[in-house]
Amino acid sequence: MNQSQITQYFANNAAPNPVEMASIREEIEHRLKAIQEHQDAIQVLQSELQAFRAASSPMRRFPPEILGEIFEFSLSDLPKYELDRKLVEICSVCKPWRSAAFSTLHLWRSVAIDPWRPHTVRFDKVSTWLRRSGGLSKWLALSGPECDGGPCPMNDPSLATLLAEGPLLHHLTLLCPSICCFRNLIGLVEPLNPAGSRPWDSLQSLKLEIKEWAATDESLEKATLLTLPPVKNLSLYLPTAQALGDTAVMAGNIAYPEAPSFTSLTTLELICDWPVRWISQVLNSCINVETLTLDFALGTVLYDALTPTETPSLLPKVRVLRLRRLIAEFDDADILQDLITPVLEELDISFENEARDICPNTMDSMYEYPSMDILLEGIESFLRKSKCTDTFRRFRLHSLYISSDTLMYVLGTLPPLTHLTLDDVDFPSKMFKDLEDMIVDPACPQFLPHLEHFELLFLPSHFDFEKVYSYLIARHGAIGNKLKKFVMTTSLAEDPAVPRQTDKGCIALRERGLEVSVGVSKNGALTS
Amino acid sequence: MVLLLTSDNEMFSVAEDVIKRSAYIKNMLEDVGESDLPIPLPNVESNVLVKILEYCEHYRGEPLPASDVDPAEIGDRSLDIADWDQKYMAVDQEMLFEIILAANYLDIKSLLDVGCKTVAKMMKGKSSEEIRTLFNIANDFTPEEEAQIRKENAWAECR
Repeated sequence: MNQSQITQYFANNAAPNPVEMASIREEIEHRLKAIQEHQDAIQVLQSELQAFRAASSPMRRFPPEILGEIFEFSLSDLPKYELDRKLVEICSVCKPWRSAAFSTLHLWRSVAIDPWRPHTVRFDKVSTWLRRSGGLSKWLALSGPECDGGPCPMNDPSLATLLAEGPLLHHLTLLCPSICCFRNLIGLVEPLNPAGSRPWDSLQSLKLEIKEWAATDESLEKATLLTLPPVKNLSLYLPTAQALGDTAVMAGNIAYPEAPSFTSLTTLELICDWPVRWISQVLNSCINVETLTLDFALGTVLYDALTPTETPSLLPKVRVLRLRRLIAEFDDADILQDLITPVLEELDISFENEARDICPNTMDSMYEYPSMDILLEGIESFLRKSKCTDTFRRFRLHSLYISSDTLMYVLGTLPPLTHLTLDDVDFPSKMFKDLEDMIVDPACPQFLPHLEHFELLFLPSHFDFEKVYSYLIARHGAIGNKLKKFVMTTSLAEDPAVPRQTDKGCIALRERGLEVSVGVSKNGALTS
Repeated sequence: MVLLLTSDNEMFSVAEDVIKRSAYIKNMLEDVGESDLPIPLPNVESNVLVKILEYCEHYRGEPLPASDVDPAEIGDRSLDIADWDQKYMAVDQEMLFEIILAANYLDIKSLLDVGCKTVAKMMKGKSSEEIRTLFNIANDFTPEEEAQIRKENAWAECR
């Protein structure tokens, strides 16, 4: 049957006879086969096209340095204990990527082992991993699991081998379930490689957290707290006082272990709620500490009424003093009365207070805690006793409700300040109106006359930013003003309570040569 | 004005303060001094240079990054990308990679960082196989080699 006999049916609606029908079905089969062949060919062409495109991809021209940069960024916002998994994925992509990753030494300098996969850690492979970072300083963090009788990595001899014979470490973090785990580890490390250059002995920085003080045969009083390597930087997180004994702790009757000596330290962070008497003993050995952080871990600072501290601790080299998680209601800042810091440059006091609802029209007196005057007089008394007015330049106050009168009072006692940060400090904006009024009063001395950097961070949404701008503009016109930089942020991104770069006051300050940044605080960073 | 000659022989006349964001051009201008001769850019095509100049123009007047900063000291490794930069980088993959290469060649560190961050963000949460598919990368490992890579880092796999 010829083609034209069938194609006549394309233009009409007649029904083909059975013979013609068979021919039509044959033609349909032909067409379907041809379409399939073309589709197969298209698929081949598409995969060839993709292969050619891949071959010509500019990514293939990326030098290892660019790939290394990309890898570093891709790891940057991951939790430290996930970095290794991601890095293995990167190395498994292709040979050039693996090679680039191996030549990016930074990628291999840190290992963090989380407590959820502790039992089969191969510390020999951890050692190999760290060695890939060549001569860069290395960082290892290890968390032990809760003491439940199962195997603990702190008791693993291969960890001791790593610390005695592995690559030199700059920093080590150990989160120990108990003091026993830590002592076991020291016991395993000490006999190894005694004459060699051991990573343990050459550590520069150690962060040690001991969660529990497990019962031992020896009494607490005789217990040696710690045998530590001669590090320069130490962060020590001790079990809570409650974990040491029972309610007797609160009465100050419990015996505490002998205070360790920290003569080699230049930086100390002590996180504990043990009595001030014990802390003072520790601080007495800190003759070389330059940066000291005392974090009271939300415990009340314990003053042992029976055996008060005899003399304040002299910290001859402390330049930066940070007090963390103080509770204002309990006069925790009185700890300052037990410290003397003759070369102090920076004081940073951070409170931990429950949020209170304060409406925009709250009376000034509502901001006041009964103990606030005592607290702030304490700061003044501490600075006076330390005789550090020649060096003291920076002050940060964090997380506090305070009246404008009290805040003005305390800041007024700190005339040498060049840097002031009020971070999450809730106070009435009327303080700036009062300060502006003082500028035109010739009887009033200039407020913080040496101030160069001023930061107001995490202001509440009801704060009147215009009063701040107005004061700073007036201050700029005053004789001897030294202010160069001003930062102001709120914690909320809600209109209209957000200071903006386009605010008239902000523009006016910029026009006067001030470096100004205003906006919303997001995790401590400024977003305009 | 500075004359730039791209690899496909297109000439661009660019304001000096715009193109000085490129440390490569800035150093060349300082070394050679004023000249009527175009600066050849054999590694940059015209369509890519147009994008690069768009970036430089946008940041015209902003302070240049300090040249003596050790890259190892640069602390900001966050993946945050400014809004404008995100829109600027909303291009196809080929152009994105060309921008990165050009930023590297012209030594525009801030643009290189934005490009690398953009690629890093695309990789976020993806397995090696998914990364290969995303960037059209051929798997040149034998199954044995791939198994070996995972084995040599076995400490990271245990749970």
